[in-house]
Amino acid sequence: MKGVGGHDISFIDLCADLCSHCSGPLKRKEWREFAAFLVMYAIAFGLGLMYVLDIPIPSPMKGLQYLISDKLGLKYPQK
Amino acid sequence: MSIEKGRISGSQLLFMFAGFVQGSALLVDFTIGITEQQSWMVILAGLVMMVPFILSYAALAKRFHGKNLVQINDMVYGRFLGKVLSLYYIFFLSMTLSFNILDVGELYKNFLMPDTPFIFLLAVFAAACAYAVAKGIEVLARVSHLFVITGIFVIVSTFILLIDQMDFSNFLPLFELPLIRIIQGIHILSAIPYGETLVFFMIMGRLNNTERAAGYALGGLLIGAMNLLAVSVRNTAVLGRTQSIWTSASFQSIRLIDIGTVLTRMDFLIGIAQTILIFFKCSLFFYALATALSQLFGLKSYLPLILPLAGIEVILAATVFQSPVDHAVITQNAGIIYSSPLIYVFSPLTLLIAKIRSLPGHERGGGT
Repeated sequence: MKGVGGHDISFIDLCADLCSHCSGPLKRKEWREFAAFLVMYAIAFGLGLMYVLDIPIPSPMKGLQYLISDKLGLKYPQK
Repeated sequence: MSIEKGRISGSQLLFMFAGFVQGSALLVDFTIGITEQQSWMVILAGLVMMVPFILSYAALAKRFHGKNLVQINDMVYGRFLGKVLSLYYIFFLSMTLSFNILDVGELYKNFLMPDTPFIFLLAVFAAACAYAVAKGIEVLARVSHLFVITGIFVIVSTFILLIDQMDFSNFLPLFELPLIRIIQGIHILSAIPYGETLVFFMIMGRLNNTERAAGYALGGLLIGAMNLLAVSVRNTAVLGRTQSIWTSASFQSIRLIDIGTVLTRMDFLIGIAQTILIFFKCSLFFYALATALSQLFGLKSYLPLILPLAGIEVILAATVFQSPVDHAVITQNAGIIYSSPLIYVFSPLTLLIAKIRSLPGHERGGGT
């Protein structure tokens, strides 16, 4: 039988986490809470997957730096 | 509809403000390279500059008693513009939280636990903050004085232990820096340790009595600022002009403590105090972010968002800057400029519009 590796444990942990958090709003029929949780969870999962797979994640601050300092020229003079 | 039932007292607000500002003690380093031995001046100037804005936060909290930032924006600017402005605030909260989580990761990676995987440090820290936020604002408020006392103890004790190595001529010459560098230093100080206190927009609504909110907020701000001043004076007096070449001036100055070869390597004190204080600061940011998002989505509780938000913040913290140098350069320019409208414009503007439109109108009156 194959042993349980780190990735398997992470996957089991993710599923357990998902189930435990879904059960509350589902039982109380709080659909809005359930939908918000699923959307945020999907974003977190997607970002986590990109990080693990070494896919570059665009940095919002790099974008702001480009817009504010490079395009608008709003920056303090360098020493 | 309120998504949080907890209540906090005025004295708890004071300690929360103080602990929050103390949590930025290591961020004073952002100005050291710019204002060098005159950093203590910009700390005081930044404090003076921020007082009217803090007063405007308190005035808004008093005027819109029991309401949070998203609700205030909706009432003052209308549903569409209010939501857009709330999204701007939420972006600020999210980014700043990720920077603070990154600060803890860098602190541990560079000084305390260099062999531990970086992402693990971030994840554990974010999980601890998530746990604290899940317990509610009341729990954080009840223990806030302990965080403040710990911070003050470390700063005072290290100050005393380093007195024999202090050279107060390191503060000279005064007023030799170009004006633009002083202005940049004041901007950094007012935007980062003090300006980030706009997180309290999401917390002041939980005050059980808003009558003296301004006094408590200013008192807390003053305690926090005095701590930053003590840290800056200590670092400059001990390290002099060399303080700008170290990765962390605080760590370097504390490492010089050597009392009879017995009391040495005291840098762990800074590690402990800063971990505790940044944890407190991040928890408040996390709470504000979770409640603001929940309010925006119209949820009954912020609890379902806590874990996904923690995951997002960890990934953001791990990827937002390529290096500590990148972190410092972007923060000293774009980082403080993009948040300036939120800190210096929108809170006085909101107050002005509320006064002109006599908001919140007939709903007002639950002042105490």
